[in-house]
Amino acid sequence: MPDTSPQKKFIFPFSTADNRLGQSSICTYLYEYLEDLSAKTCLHESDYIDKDYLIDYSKFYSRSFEKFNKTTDRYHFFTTSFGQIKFKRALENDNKDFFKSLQESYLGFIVLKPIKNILGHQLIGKTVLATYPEHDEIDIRCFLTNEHKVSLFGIPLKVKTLPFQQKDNAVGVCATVTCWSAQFPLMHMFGTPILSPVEVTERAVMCPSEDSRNFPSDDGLTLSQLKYYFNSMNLETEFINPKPTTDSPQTSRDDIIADAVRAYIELGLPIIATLNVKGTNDYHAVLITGYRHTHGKVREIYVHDDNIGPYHRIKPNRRGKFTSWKESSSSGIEKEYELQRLLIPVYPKIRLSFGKVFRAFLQFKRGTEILVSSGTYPQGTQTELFLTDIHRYRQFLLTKKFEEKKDIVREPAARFLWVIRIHNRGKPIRDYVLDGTAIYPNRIIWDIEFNNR
Amino acid sequence: MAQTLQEKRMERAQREFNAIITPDILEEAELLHKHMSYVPPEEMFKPFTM
Repeated sequence: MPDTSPQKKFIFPFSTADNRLGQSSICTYLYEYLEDLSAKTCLHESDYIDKDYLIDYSKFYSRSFEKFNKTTDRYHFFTTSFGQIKFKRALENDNKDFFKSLQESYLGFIVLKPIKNILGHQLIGKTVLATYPEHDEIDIRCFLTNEHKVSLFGIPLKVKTLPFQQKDNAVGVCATVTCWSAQFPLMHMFGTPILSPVEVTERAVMCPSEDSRNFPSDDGLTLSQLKYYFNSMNLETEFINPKPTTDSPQTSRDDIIADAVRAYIELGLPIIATLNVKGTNDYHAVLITGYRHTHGKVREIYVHDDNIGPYHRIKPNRRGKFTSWKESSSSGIEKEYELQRLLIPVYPKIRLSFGKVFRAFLQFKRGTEILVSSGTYPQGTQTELFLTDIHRYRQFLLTKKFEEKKDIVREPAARFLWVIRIHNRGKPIRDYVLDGTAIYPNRIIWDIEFNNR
Repeated sequence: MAQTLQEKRMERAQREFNAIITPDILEEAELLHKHMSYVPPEEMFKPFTM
């Protein structure tokens, strides 16, 4: 007789998934997020061995008197509807067409750890979920993503995203989890290792702090420990203070946070934002994972916030800036955060800092504004700044028309480049390409005027 | 020795760039970098606990 009891069903409609995931605020957020992505079916993989949790288990939970399970539950999500009978038959017959349809409709997975927080909610482990769509009417979303391969009972699946997980007070809170997520693009680009949360905390606390205990780690990491952690991976750390100086060349039209986010996400570098809850001594760390823009104007920033969920949307404040943002918890309490600093782990050869190149960028930006008001450049012409590497930039050049192209694309250039681009509604007009491995923003490699006719 | 095409182009680009990014701007860039990257010692040791 077929087993149809709800407990034994491993494939079920997404509409009932909230019963399985739990009732915590993060679960509610994830459920709504997946609903936005049109999830239809959920597949439960029991006794899943999650590497990150297994290391946390072996280093921390296995030595507790209380018994903890060493395996997890993994839930996969799909945009198509299918049932258990069809799925089992496909496994039996190696139905490649069905497997292909699973890949096309795959939204990723959530790992549920066998650990509960103080409120009795099961903790969310490694979560690998698709991003919001790239296009939304005239807006474009840009995310920090890499391809993640998933094996579901031998069926190859993949999803482009950045992993997320919830804080676990035993092995690491916000800053640890933020570093854990930041490791993925860094590994992809620079070959740095991926550590589990407990290992991230272990590494970071080798830099002493004023707190007494390292584990349980609810005392949190400090900025000096974050710096130490990335430095120990042979990476440099760049800090950006978003507050202008009294004699700053910035105007009300400039938003340093939006500019920095665009500049680094272009190359695929993670950006850690440190926040202060206004009016308190509470500090929080989140990872900036993407942004949404209309013709270059940043409308939203997306963050992995371990207290909320992945790709949480941040809107600009009343002044149109991202220097402070508001968040409402599920209990309705509103918190206002002030963005204190951005921390970007960078490859040591990226020597030209954002601060130095930003001043040069502002000079070009002011110049473009004058040329727009005089009618030399058409309305809507803007200036943007971004970091890239020679491979990506040459790939871009190959798609464009400009003078001496066949010579320029063959010329040697620095591995990392800062580009100051003048464009009209995304169409590039002129690129000033600076040597990103230089110390000062005074070495131009190329000055390219594009032929858009 | 005769200049290569690249050297000639770079020289021209550098000249035009230097007319916009003057020594004053480079000096300001240094100051802005110092301001942006400086973290007061007390901030380095505030734990992120949330």
